[in-house]
Amino acid sequence: MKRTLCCTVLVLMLFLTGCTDRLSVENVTFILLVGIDVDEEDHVVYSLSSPVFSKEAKKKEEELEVRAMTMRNARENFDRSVVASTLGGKVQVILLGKRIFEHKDWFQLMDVFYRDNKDTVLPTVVLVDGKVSDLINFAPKDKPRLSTYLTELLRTSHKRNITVNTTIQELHRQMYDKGITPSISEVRKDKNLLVMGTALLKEDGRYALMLDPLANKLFSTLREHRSGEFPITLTMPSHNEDSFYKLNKLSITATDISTKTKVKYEDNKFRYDIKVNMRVTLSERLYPINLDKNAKKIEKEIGEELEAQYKLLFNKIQTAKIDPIGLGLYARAKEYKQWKKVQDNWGEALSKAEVNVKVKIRIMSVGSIN
Amino acid sequence: MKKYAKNEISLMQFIFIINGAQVGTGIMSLSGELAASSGTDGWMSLIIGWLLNLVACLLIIQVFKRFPDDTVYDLLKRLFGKWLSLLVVIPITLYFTIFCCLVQIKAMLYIKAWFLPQTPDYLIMFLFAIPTYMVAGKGLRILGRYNELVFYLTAWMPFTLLFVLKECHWLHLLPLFKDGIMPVIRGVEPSIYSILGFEVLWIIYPFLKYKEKATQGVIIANSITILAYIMATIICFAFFSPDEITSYHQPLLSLLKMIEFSFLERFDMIFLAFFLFVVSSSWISFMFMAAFGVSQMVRKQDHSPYVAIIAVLIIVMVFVIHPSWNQANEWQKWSSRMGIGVAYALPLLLWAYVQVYIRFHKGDTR
Repeated sequence: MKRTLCCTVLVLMLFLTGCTDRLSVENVTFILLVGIDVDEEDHVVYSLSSPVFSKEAKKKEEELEVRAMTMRNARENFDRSVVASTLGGKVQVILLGKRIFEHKDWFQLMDVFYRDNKDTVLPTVVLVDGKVSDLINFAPKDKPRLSTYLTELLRTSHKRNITVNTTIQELHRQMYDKGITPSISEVRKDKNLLVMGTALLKEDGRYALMLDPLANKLFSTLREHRSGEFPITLTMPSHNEDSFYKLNKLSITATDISTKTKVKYEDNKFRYDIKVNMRVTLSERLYPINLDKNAKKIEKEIGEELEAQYKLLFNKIQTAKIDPIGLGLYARAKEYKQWKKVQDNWGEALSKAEVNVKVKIRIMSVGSIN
Repeated sequence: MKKYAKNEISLMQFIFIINGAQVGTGIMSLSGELAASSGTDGWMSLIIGWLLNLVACLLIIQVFKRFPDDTVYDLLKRLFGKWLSLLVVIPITLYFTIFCCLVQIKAMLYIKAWFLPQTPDYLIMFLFAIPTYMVAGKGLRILGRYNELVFYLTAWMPFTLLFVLKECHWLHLLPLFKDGIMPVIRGVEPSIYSILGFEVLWIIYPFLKYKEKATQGVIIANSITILAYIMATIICFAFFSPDEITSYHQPLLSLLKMIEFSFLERFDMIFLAFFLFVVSSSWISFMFMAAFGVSQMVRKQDHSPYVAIIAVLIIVMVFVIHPSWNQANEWQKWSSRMGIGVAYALPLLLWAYVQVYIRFHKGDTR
């Protein structure tokens, strides 16, 4: 009796198609790139790009640009024109036009990425200097599909620390946390794509300034999570170089970096003492000096030059009243009482803070020639 | 007279029934709730909650010390008589039923949100009902075996959280006691709600083979639960900024979205699918307790028909109401308050009563 009941239930279950909403891969269009921009007439424009897997199609992807109310609304419009129904869960890169950053509150437009359980939180956020539509319609002949090209480009330039790699999950953190301001990659399309560096945003999301690759490397050394390589080329002011080729240059690769950040509150302002220890290999030296004998001297010179560069970086950051490094996190952890007073105006407080960076260099190797 | 001898459970089964009943869907949203009530100090509230749990468990064991072969139903009948005891027995049974129903509804909502948005909710509930009947309809020993198996099958899951360690910002946790001790105390309430479940002890205690190991058992069970909770909470706190974590409904699931392998995206889905086993061990345990309670009330030996009845009632209820997330959360708040009564107030009152009772009935407790 019981066995029959069991069997009946099991047989019945075979007819139970729980997956009424299943999707076959053939019937799906994956959106790989998403763009948001503001056009000349101040309308928000959404653009989507997805790959085409068809031998008959000559172009490798299809794009759509549309003035829409929201992202979801734009996807609906996309559905009206593409071959299959669209799916957002595979987005690789989110492109934001520079004009987006003229107004605050643009972050609300991204709501759907965080709300939809089917979306991932790992697409990279990129600022496009120029029009997003130019970039998304770009189909270079000597490169793979744009989505692949762009993701690879961003990944490798982050590996060399030319720019940061901010996923939308990280952006969410940077937007909401009071002790840090957002920083995202900046890209421009001239003839080719060009990674410009890192765009730093204000607390409310508006554009503040851009860090070039060198500044970005220094900036990245100070962040909590470091990864990749740090090749740095410096101009050594101690060597007056009158040669046509300006030979007072030196390149190092920092292989091992450790930083120690201390914060204190005294004299009505925060004081940061940041110690940076770098172990470097010397990869290039254009001016004549005996490296074996003058190692100590060069170490000191490089350290001083880097300190000067850090100072420039902090000048920029403090004038813009932003905190892309997240020094506010240290203030919260170590000087909570003072932090609480200024947390809603942290950029202001940091701009008044005193920041001292001390750099200590150790040359581990100079290569195969002296 | 050993009434429950044929369904005796081992210490391990005892531990995993308690642990299984405790760990449900609460762990997904716990860190957000703690952050809302007590900021990044919330994990300390969990420790206080754990201590309170241990006290309550030990009180229950103390109550049973004199009546080692009684479930709470037998005990209440002994102390208050057949009719008076119903005043307490009915709410307890009702509580177990409601809790079982809620855990299932929550699990169903998760499945709908993540896997099967278009599938009707009652259908999912029906699918739940089949394994529920198969496990809870049998004796407690089968339930114990199931829960033990589920624990071994899913013991790896907390360790997957270690994949996000490299993205963590430990500075978020400092300073300890940010705003003094009060926020930590405020966090005890959500902590307690999330570790309710040990009250199954009221029923499973007489089934335990070696009663002298009961204390050890409840300590281990509660500690396993709390360690998993603390680990999940601390990692969520270190990963999410304290300013953003409260904006997530289920911080733990959002955190799992970060884990991606080159051969596997959306690890959160896999995790959730496996986590269903853990959640099932919770609602199945409660289902057993509810059905057992009903069978005791109507004085029948076999509780399995009541499992079927309760399961059908739950499906019908879902079919009629179609609960939403907000409703489920609202109900959970109420049932958690009932849980405080069953799990904390009842042990205290019964313990006090038993002390008096023993004094007046010296010698005839057996």
